[in-house]
Amino acid sequence: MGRFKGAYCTATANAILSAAAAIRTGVSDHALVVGLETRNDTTLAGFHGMQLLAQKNMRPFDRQRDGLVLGEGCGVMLLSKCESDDPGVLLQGGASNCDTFSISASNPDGSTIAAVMADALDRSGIAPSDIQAIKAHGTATPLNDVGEAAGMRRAFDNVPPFFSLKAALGHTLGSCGVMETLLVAAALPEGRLPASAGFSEPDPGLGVVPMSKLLAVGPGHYLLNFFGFGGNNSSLIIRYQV
Amino acid sequence: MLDIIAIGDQYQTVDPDQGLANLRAAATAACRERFRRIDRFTQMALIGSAQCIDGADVKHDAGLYIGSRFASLGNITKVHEQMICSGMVPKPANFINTLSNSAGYFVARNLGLRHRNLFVSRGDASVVAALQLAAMDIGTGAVSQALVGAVDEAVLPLEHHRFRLGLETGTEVGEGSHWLLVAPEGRADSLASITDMATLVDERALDQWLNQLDPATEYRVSLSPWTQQRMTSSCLQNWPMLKGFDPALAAYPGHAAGALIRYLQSGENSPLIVIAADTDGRFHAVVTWPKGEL
Repeated sequence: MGRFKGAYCTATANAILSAAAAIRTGVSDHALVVGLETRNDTTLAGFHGMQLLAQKNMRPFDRQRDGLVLGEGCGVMLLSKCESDDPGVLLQGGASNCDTFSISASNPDGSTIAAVMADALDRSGIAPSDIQAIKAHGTATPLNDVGEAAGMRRAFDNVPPFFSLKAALGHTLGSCGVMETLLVAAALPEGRLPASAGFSEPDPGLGVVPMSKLLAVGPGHYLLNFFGFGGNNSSLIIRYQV
Repeated sequence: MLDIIAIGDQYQTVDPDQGLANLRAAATAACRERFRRIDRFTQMALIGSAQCIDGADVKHDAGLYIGSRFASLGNITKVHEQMICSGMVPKPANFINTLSNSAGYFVARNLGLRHRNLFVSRGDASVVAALQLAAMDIGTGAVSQALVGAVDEAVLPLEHHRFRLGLETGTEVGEGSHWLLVAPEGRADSLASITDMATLVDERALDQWLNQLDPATEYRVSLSPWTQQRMTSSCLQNWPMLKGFDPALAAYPGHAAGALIRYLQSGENSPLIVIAADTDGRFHAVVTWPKGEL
């Protein structure tokens, strides 16, 4: 198709959505989605200039969180048409939207993030109560975790267990959509999702607390969040079935 | 496939003696609020998109799709020159503006769009990629309309820019921001219909695709200067029903989108085929049928 460029953190989550649309509309029988992010001085200097880098470690949703650590990596995902009862991990649906509150931070009231999660649930034909767990975007920046926590509280009467992978991977920016989806897809058949890496102390200001230990999981629906500069928000719903 | 219900753009040929046009006043006039620290690429996107939707009925769930070969090239170049030559850390606004979707943020904010907002790059065929993404999202019902733009800015010095674009020395250079508001086919008030968008793996596949066209229909064909450079032969010579269309645009990656809009503005009734080369040897073609004079 083309390159979703620019190191915005929803680039490959959006690519997954477009790949699914290509399959659904009959443009392609299969779609290869490649997420690639390499270390570079421009990105490092840019995040430094914006004072978004952690002094030491990433601590998503932690009271002491102070920013992110950049990561690099490549993930490749092959999507193919399947039957609804095929076993394995299926992409059930998803949505994306644009938050015009700020170009560099999500709306702290969580309204647009809640809207993209609600849209993803709606397009997948499921209710909030169907979600077993959430892979949060969780960048560990003070403001963005506030917006995501507020969004989860708005979208769910009871916020499901949630975790962030970024303290383990670093923030892989444009490739995080593919890489983090692949990791969740690989973890589900193992029957467990990881604790939220880097978390130790709840932040009362967030009103939610991430997973502090492994979560035993089984078949069901899982929601994955990805948010980026430029107000870009994406949520994917995957279904694991045996 | 898609109906085009509104068009609008902003274009200029770069005068080698005068340099780049100052767009600040036009961008200010196009905006509903004052945006500070936006770069020239974003200014172009704001001007062109505002021209397109002026008076059009844009749905609340319209998607926004921007195609560009290099996005905010002027700002990216400046940031890197400052980093490498002076060791300067990018200012936050300058760094944010190096991200390709920054212009999309400002366009969305200016037009009140809150839905899907994508940026895509595919050589001179970036507008085709953006249209294909829009068509798929319309096809799945993710959006009911799509505002599709092709934005490509020129950067001085022009010799460097020509080298970057793979253009021959002395080639006249342009820049433009070309926009289409598209919707599912079947609207009575549309300006034109896009009936086919084809991705062809090489020039041979392009020949085969052209060979299946109706020989009894006269098509107009637009090729950008760069696309012509990428072809070993001129397809216009092999099929009598293909007649060239010269949109009187200089060379720049958004040429395909500019040609499409110039054609619709010309009032011609024959179908138009825009062929645009990718950087990887592929060709992408869009077939558009006008529905009458504008």
